[in-house]
Amino acid sequence: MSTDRYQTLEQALADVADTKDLRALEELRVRYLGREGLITRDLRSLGAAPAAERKEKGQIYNKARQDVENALAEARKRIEDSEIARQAQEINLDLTAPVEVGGAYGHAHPVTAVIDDIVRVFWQMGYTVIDGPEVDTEWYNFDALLVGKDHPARDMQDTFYLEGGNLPRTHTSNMQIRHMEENQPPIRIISVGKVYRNEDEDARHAWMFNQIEGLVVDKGITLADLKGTLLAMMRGVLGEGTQVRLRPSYFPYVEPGVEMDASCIICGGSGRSGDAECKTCSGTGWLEMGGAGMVHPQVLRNVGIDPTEFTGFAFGFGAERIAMIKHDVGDLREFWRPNLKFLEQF
Amino acid sequence: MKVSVEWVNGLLDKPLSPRAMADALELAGIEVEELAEGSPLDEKIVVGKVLHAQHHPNADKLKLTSVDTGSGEAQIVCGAPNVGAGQTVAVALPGAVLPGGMQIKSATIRGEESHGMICSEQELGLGQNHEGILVLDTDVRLGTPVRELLTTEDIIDVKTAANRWDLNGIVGITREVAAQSTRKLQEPEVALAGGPAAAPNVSVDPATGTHRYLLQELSVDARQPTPGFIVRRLRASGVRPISVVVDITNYVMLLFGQPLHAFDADKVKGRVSVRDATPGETLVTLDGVSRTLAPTDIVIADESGAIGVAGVMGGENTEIDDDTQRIFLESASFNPARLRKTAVRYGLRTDASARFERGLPPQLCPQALAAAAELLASHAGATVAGPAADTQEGPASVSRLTIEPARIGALLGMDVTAKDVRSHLATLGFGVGEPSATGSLTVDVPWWRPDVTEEADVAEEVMKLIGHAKLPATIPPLRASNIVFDRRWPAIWDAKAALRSLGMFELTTYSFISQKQIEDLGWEASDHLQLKNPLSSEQSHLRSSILPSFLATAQKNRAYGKQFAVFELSKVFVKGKEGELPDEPVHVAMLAVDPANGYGLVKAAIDRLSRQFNVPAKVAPGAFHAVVAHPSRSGEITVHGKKVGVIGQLHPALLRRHKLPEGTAYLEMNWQAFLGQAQPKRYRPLSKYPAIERDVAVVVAREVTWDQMAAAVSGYQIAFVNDYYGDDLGAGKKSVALRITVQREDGTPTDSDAEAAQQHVVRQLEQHFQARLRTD
Repeated sequence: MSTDRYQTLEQALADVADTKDLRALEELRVRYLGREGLITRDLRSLGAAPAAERKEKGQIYNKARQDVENALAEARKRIEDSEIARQAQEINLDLTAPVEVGGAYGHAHPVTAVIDDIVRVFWQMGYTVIDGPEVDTEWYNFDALLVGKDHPARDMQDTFYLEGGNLPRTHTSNMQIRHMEENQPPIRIISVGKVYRNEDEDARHAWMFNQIEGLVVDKGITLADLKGTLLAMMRGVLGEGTQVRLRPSYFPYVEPGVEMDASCIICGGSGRSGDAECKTCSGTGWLEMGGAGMVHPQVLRNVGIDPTEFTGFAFGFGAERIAMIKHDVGDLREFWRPNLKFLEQF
Repeated sequence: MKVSVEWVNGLLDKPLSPRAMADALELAGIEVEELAEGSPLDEKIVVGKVLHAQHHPNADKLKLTSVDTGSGEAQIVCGAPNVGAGQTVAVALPGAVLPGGMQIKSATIRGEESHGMICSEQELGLGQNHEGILVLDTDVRLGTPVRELLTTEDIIDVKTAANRWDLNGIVGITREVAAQSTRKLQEPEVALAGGPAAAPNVSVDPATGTHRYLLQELSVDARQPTPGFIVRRLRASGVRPISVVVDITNYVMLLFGQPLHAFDADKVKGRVSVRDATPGETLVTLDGVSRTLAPTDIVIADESGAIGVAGVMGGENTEIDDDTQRIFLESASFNPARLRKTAVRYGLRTDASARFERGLPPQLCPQALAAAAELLASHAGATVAGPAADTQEGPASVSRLTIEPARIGALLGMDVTAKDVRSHLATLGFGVGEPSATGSLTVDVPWWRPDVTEEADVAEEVMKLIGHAKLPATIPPLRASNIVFDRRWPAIWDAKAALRSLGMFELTTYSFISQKQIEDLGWEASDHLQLKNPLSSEQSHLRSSILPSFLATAQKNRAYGKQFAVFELSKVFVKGKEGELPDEPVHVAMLAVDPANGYGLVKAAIDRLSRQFNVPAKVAPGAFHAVVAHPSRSGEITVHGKKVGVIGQLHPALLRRHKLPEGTAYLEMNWQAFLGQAQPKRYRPLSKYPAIERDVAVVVAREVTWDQMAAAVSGYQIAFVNDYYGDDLGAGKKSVALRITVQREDGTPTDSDAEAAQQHVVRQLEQHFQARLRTD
């Protein structure tokens, strides 16, 4: 009997294999396995059969039921997969069309975004970011930095003065003094904030802008350390390929003093833009970024730090200048107007 | 300062190209602002003589001239007002190309033929003057190419350090160029003529702080023409030639950096003195302006009164003219600070005062005086009348430093040997001795370098001479004594992200505002810090609030769209006692221009910030200001009952003045005061059982606020759903929908629990606010 073919099973498997849709598959399930299905009926008929036959055929019918169930499940998966594959070819979505969800998105200001970037760069370099007053005394802004009342260098920075004394600071260097008065070396800080110059505005000058001031004072700090730090910093802010060069310069509160240039990120330092000279760096390949130098020994003495034991460097540069370079903005005044049409691009 | 390349090359043993010279200057730390390379004039531009000049028959502003160009007579139409018969001029013949590129052709101008052009200074590329034609003071053969007399010079425009007086002179500039190249400076050697004869009678008041004062009497022939090389170098330096005596004093000033002044000795009455001006003293200066002097000014005076403002400008009463036969030539070092004040006060920052301001070493005075006397002798027939009066006795002191090359190397971060230091410094004229047993060096600082006072100054010179390109780039080791964590910036970034997520623009606006902007808001200008020297009345005061800037910004941008919102985080300035530093709290401000939902946006902002930082900020209704705040739709932001800011719609009248729509809302608060109340978020244990919610609506008077209702309900958690201000509810009434959350510790709440909760809540609202359940 074991070699006998159970034809109902063969028919069922053939029917299932031929089926192309789920509804027909359900009909087959009912026809063979439903309450009145052919296999179900065969199983049920065994109840009246003798024990030996019941056992033998019972095994056959039960296995058949299992086989059909498996075949149905396989067929269902086959049909569903082919249905998914078919539907997946239907086009009902434009992947490129703009989508607005949950109202308008706001805009970061390009200059404060640059400042935020710079803060994060210096954090990674182990600097503490300190804050300080924008209105300060002449002592902190000038005298402690060796720019006495009659020092011709006071003309280098046209200064606003307040009625009743004090002034809106002309640079963030006031924070060098304030920090060193309160803290002993090792010192490794930057200070970020607004500074004010009494000069007419043009595309490259504003009477108010943001400056970033850095100060490192410790045993054995060198001018070479300054160069390496400026290089690292500029790579952090402008990109890995950036180069830095120093040119000798004069600021009363540093000695030696230098001017820092970074290679032009627009032309890659070539000075050329196609056949013309690069607009951003005026064809020089270099961008003037700011001033720096070794803290003048007298400045250290002014705040009670022994210059024979400690040396340090300081640097300062402008955030707007970096924002101009980074976003190819030709006129600094755009940052301050403020014009929402301009700002919505950021 | 304009540096003539030709002049510098004249002091070098071998000339440098303009480019190489500019590079050397940069290496020396002298900022090159512009390198203007000259080019020789076209040889068809020749010396001519104007024979006649008459009015053009057909044009009022033109003249018809006849010019001898050496090769014949040419008719030329000329538009210059100063052309006249007898003048020697530069004539561009037909075919000549001007430095600007223009080619001259024969033409007919208003019916008259013109065969060439009489040139102005500007047309020849020699200067900016285009008011009239250039008149050449020369008697060379007519037809000589002008380029043999005048060249467009190679000029390097430089900016020099304020602590370097010596770079205000060609000699000092050349010394740096030589040290940064392979050239040698050939310094002009001059010595002051001296002798036993009597010096002019001079007294200097020590109160003036004058470091040195020399006065030399010379007889001169003031009518001599200024030699060509001097004229050319003056022009190249941007100084107008005037007359031989003045030109020579200017020439010496440009060369050495020492301003000189020549008085007509025959106009000086008696003894010369240097003293403080007396109160009310007046002087007509060389520019023809009568000036009332202040006692802080230093004057040069004779027995009749002031004859010059020291170092700034001479007096008209002793001016040199063509008839001058005797001069007093002054070479001095005045108190730089006082001079600077005087120059600034009179608005007379002259070439001379700018040089005095940097402080001139006393050794310079006799050198410059001697050089001028020599030039006057050669070119103005001068003879020295005797030794100069000199206030200095004995030689001036010289500064000597002890330095250690190893310490300089340690400061720079590279190996520096004694040999390097010696050879480098020698190129700048420093005298360096042999190293001591400990390796230290004694350095004699040359008198022209008073800026070098300590080892760091020497290090800078050594660095410049080694070249910054050779400096290694290293990172200093981090040797932190402690770690300070920054909580300030992350909070700002989180806040800015939250506000941007509401669609707001971040702005940066100026810290200075006008008095009008302050008073427009009903605030007192006197409560604000005021600038002594504002750029304009638009920016005269320091803002104590961001609101004025935002109103101006919103007004300017009102065409941007129907609705927009902006925010800014910035310091503002709260004036303290007179002369004290102000408080500078950081404020966060927002302005939402949106007639429908302006308030909704700023309220959403404070709610989001409160949630972000877990600050229990509340709005306490009540107009916070009569002019600024909307009378009934504004209030204060409080945290734990303490005011931290203001919120609300702006006053309709204020909005109308700024052409902004009614409903525009504003928020400004003290960021630190708000953030200072931030608390860590604490977990509340969750119930194991589900909660059920029940929504009800109650009708209450419109004055009743949600915060009051929430505070009045105890025992159940309630949440605001919405409110409705329909007239159908009865006058002065509103409906508030709220959601009651019902929760049990011991099981899932039932419908009867919910019913009990609703009754409880509604009863409490009835008791406190006469609320009634809305049933429609």
